[in-house]
Amino acid sequence: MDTLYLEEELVLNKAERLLSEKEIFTREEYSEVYEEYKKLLRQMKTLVKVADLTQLELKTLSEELSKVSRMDGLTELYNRRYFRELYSQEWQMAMQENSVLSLLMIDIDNFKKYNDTHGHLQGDVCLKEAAAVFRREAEKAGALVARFGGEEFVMLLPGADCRAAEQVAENLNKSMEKLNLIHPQTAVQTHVTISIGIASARPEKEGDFQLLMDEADRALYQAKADGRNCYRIFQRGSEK
Amino acid sequence: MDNLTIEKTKSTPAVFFDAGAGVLQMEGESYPENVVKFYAPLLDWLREYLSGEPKEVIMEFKISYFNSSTSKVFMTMFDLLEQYVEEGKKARVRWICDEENDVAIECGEEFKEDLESLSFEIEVC
Repeated sequence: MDTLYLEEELVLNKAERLLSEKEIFTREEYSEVYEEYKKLLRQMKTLVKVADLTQLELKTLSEELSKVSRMDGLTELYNRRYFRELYSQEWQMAMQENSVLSLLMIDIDNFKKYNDTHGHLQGDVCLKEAAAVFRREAEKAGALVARFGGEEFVMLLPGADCRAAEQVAENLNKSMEKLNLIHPQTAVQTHVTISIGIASARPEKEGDFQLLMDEADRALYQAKADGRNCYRIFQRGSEK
Repeated sequence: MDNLTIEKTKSTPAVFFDAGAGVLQMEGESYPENVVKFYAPLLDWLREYLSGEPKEVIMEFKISYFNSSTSKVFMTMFDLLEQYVEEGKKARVRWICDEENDVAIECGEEFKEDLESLSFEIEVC
């Protein structure tokens, strides 16, 4: 077997020989070539169908893999890596459109104590329920939200200034209160609460998007230092 | 006639063609870099075997993934077996698939649809 298509070549050779040697073919001669060709054509059709089935499966798997690589497995929010990609794109867009954007760094207060009290499984439930709250608020605000790691989350609000971001932060604190996940060990409240750091900017330079994250992070630390269950806004020079 | 045994690799199936029992088995995945090179000995063996003493032949495929060139080889094998049956001899194919492998099951159905004389059993396990 020199080739996969040996039979196809034999049929072609036979047809060529007939055409070059004779002007009139007998029914048997014509019928033989015709039947062989018909069989091979049917094989080729099956081959294409089978290839299509496999390609479809590969496409589906590739899309699933691509989705999984963007998501945090527990909360089904975007993961940190994909968030950075989206954030970078939004930063570029804001630069081109000369628009503002805001970042919210969100941390679940005293989460370690929650885990120690209720166990890691319940800790996971807490993260999932908090993530669902963040997702709902993000959808309302047209924002992107991701799990940044552990009990820390990040929300990006394209086109939102500091005042709009502040409103979202207020809504988040209220929604966590409504969620009312019991947390007897916290010194802040009887339920699970969150602290939020806000930073806003009108992007000018490409590399500055990390700077805004650092600023939101510093505001978050301030919120924690001020007793948690609150938000703080980073302001250059001082923090509210 | 000697048996034909080939070890499984990442891209080629394990092959065990038992001349005495008439059971020809292939198991694994098939996407060899050179399909002709891998399958030429199998097809040569099969052609020689089918031209020998007539006996019942059972071909078992447990192939979870295969590329398009492999499917062409499989159809060539089915064609040889179909000719064998049309000569009044006995042969059948067992196409064995994992129940979760929808593609392998559907491909088996496509192969089966083309065959007229050869028995082609799709077994889902």
